[in-house]
Amino acid sequence: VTPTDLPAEPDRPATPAAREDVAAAAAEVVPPAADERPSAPPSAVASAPGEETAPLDPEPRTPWRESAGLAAFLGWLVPGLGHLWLRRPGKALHYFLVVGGAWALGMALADGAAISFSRHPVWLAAQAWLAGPTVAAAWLLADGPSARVPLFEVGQLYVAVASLLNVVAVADAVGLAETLVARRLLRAGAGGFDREERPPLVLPPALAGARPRNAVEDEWPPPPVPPPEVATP
Amino acid sequence: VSLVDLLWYLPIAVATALAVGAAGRDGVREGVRGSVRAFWTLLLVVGGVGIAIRALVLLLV
Repeated sequence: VTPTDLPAEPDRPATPAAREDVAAAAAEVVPPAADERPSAPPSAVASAPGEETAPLDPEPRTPWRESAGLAAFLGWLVPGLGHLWLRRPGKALHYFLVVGGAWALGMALADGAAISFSRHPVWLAAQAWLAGPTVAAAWLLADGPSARVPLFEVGQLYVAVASLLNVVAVADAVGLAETLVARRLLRAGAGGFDREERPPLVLPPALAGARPRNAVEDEWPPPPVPPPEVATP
Repeated sequence: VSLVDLLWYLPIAVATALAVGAAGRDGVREGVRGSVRAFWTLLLVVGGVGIAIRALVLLLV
C-alpha cells in the first residue's frame, strides 16, 4: 500500500492557503444562542435518510456516592472524610487518627503557634493540603503565642508532614472511588469485551492488502480465493 | 542535633508509615504489612543517610 492508494481526507484541505481559508471561515462561525443549544445529548443518531437510527449508549454517570472529586474535596477538608463518604468507615477512622493525630501532636509541640499566615507563610505550602484544621487553627489561634517553645521546629514539621500525608489519604480516596465505579460498571456488564469476544477486524478497501498488526502468523496471508467461474456459451 | 533528638521524629515516621502503608490496600492485614514495610524502608533510608553523613563528617572534618 502506498500513500497514493490511500483515500484522501475529505475534511482536510490540501494546500496551506485553503487551510487558512477554512480557519478564517471557522472563526466567523457564530455560536448558537443559549436557548438554541441542545440541553441533552441525542439519544440516537441517524446515519442516513431512510435508515434506521442507531441508539447510543447513554454516558454512564457516576453517582454522588462514588464521586472521586467530591471524595477528594471532603478528604482535603478533613482527613478521612472522603473515605467516610465512600462508606469506608474503618479506613476513614484510620486516616483521621493517623493524620489528625500527627497534626494535633505537632500543634501541641509547637504550643499552637505552628500555623500563622503572617509569621510563617512559607509553611503554608505544605499546611494547605489539610484545609479544615489549618484554616480553623489560623482563625482561632491568630492571636496566639508568638514566642517559640523549645520544640517549635519539631511541632511545625509534624504539622507540615501531617498535612502532606493527607495528600496520600486523598489519593487513596480517589483510587477507592474509581475502583467502586469500575466494579459497578463491571457488575452492570459495561466492562468492555474480552479478547475472545473482540469483533473481527474490518479493513477499509484501501488497506485490504496490508497486513494487520494483530494478524496471526499461520493465518496470514489468507488462502487465495479462486476466481469465479465464467459460464462459457 | 544529637541522636537522642532524632527520637522526636520517631512518631511522625510511624505516622508516615501507617498512612503510606494503608494507601491502596483494603484489608487490615495488608495494611499492617504495608505499614511495617514502609516503616522499615523509611528507617533504612533515613538511618543510612544519617550514617553516611556522620561517616563523611568523621572522615573529612
